[in-house]
Amino acid sequence: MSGRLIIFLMTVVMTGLSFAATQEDPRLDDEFKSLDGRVQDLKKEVLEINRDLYILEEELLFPSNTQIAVFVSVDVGEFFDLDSVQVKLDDKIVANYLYTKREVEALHRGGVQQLYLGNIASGEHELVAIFVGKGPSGRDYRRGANVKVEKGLGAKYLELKITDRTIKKQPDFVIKEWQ
Amino acid sequence: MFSLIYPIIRSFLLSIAVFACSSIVVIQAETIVKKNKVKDLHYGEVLFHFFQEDYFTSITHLLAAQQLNRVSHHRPDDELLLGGLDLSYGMHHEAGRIFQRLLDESSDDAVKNRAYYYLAKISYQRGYLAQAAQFAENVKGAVHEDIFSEVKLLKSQIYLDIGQPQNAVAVLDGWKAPKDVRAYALHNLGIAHIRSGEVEDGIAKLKKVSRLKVRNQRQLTLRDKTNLVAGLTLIQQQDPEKAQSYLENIRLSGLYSDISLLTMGWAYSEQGDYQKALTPWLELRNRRLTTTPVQEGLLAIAYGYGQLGLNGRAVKSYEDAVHLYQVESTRLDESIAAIQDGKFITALLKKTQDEPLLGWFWSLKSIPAVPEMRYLAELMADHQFHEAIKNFRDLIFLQNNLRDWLDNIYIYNTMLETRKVRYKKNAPTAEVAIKESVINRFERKYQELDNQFYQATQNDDVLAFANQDEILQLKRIERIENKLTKLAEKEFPGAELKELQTRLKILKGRIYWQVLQEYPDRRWQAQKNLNQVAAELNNLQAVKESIGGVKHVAKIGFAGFEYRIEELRERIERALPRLEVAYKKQTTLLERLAVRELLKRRLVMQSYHAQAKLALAQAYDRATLDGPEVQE
Repeated sequence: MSGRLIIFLMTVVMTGLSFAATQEDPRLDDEFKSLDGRVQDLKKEVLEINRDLYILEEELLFPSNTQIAVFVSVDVGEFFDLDSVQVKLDDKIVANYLYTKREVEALHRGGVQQLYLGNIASGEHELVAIFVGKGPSGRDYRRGANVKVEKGLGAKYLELKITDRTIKKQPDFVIKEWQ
Repeated sequence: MFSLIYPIIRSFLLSIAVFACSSIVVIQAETIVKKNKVKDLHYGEVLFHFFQEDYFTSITHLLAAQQLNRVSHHRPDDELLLGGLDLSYGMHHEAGRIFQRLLDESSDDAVKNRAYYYLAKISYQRGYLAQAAQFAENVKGAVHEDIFSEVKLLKSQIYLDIGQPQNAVAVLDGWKAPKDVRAYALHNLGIAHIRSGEVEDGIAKLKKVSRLKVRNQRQLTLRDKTNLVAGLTLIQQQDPEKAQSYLENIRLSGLYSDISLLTMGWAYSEQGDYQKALTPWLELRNRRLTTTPVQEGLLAIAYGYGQLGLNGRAVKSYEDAVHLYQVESTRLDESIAAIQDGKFITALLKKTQDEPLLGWFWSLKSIPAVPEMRYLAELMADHQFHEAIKNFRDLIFLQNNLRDWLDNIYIYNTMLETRKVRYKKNAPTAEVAIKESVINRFERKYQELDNQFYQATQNDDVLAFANQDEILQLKRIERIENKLTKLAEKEFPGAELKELQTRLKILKGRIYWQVLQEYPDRRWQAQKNLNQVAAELNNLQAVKESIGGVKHVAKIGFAGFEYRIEELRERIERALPRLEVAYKKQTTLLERLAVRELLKRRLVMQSYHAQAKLALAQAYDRATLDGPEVQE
């Protein structure tokens, strides 16, 4: 059998196939589109339920007059490869977080992680953050930063920022208070 | 010989052109998010999940942040982000609505350009090519650098798909694309030239792609694809020798390895070198028989032996092909039957349990070799099946999500009860502490002191700033002075009296002088103390308002929370049965799509089988005529 014949038959088969397929396609394609539309509506509905549950949970568990939230961000971060962060509030460990590669990547791309959400009473508190990872030249690196915060009536947001001190080629750890 | 392979080349060229740069259909996070600083922490928090491709969490958190007014510094970027997230989560309708709304409401060209770009992308993904082209055309003026490359690539892709390769050339020619997309741009430009009839220019562009530095797996795959396109084009142009140099650069283990081996054989065969053609074709025989190039390779081997005059081997190869096509047809029948029996869905569900993380269905290497799963990798290449399986996965997730909430929502009621109990216990004590009369008394006292301070400073009343000891001493002096005055009235001896009065004046003067010396400090201290008192009073007022607020929340809030919890429970209960119906329909659809695809494959297999049998009969005839084969 010659190659020409093989290909000729192939072409006939493919033409026949597409004919057979087009006979069934419209119905199945319509069903696919219709169901896809329904799934999209359901996704929207479930997302809205989740949004309302998320807000309810926060308002119920962490009312703004006692709420404190601690976030972690990385600005450039060339001199520090983050492994973990520990947060102490008034000398009590409230968060201990070990990062995955994917999470560190998300931080480097500009994402901000909400590390801790809790409640504290009005007045003065001390927050200590301990960052563990690899510093310049891949050496083990462990650094702390602390801040005294005055908790008033509104929610208190603190950002633990890992930045670079380019001149010294060292990482820097700053705690920023958001209003 | 060219006509022999022309249909294969043509079909591949067409398909490669269609998927020329399909990678851009994936939403690139950086095109949604402008490279600027996070101005609202909660916006950054949404990005944190988005960058990990956890679209469900990022959409939920963004919707909540918008409702709580926590992303106000990122308007209208938050809406663009939401639209992009919806698109990534397969919610084209909602994404389209958001971008259309942005177009209607915004007068900012940058926002409009982004909205047009995404609408073009949505239309393209859904197959509305004319509409996609129209939206893409509306991206005008100075396009933001983040989306500039994406717009260029999308436009070229659309033009290629609607059969206007010259326009694709116009879009890409002369553009110095950034490093990360340069290979895609050159690849598409090469195809656009080829499809415009400018083959030489096209090959030159494709050649540039193969010389670029490759950084990751995606770029390696693209390089393979580019070499394949160049090789196929050159065979089509009757230059198989040159085609070889491109085909040889394709990896033997990549996505395009099977088709490249088949094509490489055809390139040699076109030059009449059947001995060399057999090497890649024989390599194909050791691979999975589920792909078309491997299946076609069986016939090619027999054809190659036939051309070499090795009729005995040709007969053996045709016999093998007949047998293997039969085996594969049987396997396809088994798979179709297993899918129709519901085993495919059961196997997929098991996979979701074993690998619950996002993207479980991508790990195709671990697919069990059972009939119902055997063709999953091939099925995934079909766009509709791919989308259907994503919806299937999402529906499982949505059901699990709502079931978890339903199981746990009672916890909120428990918490609410705890809060009610605590409120009842603490409210009376708090109310006493913030009694109106107590606060008023403090406020009156403060006003009194503030007035005294004002009067004293206005009248330079130095002694108003005397301390407690000095006041006592002054009072004693005053009492003594009064007594002396009375004694004077009783004609007490004048000289002694005067001396005492003088001494008292000196004492009084010394006290006055002492206070005067410290007047500025004492005045400053008094002012400071008054300010502190004012601040404390304000704080007290705030505490009072806060407690008042708590009382208010307690009165309507407890009931409000109860209502919200109940309302959410009802919404979950209403949604779950509809999710279940959609899930059942989705499973049926998935099975039907899979069966449709496998039936197509079985038809092809039956055709190969028939061809092989026919060719075998002819080969028998030739073998009989030619006598025994001489072994080389």
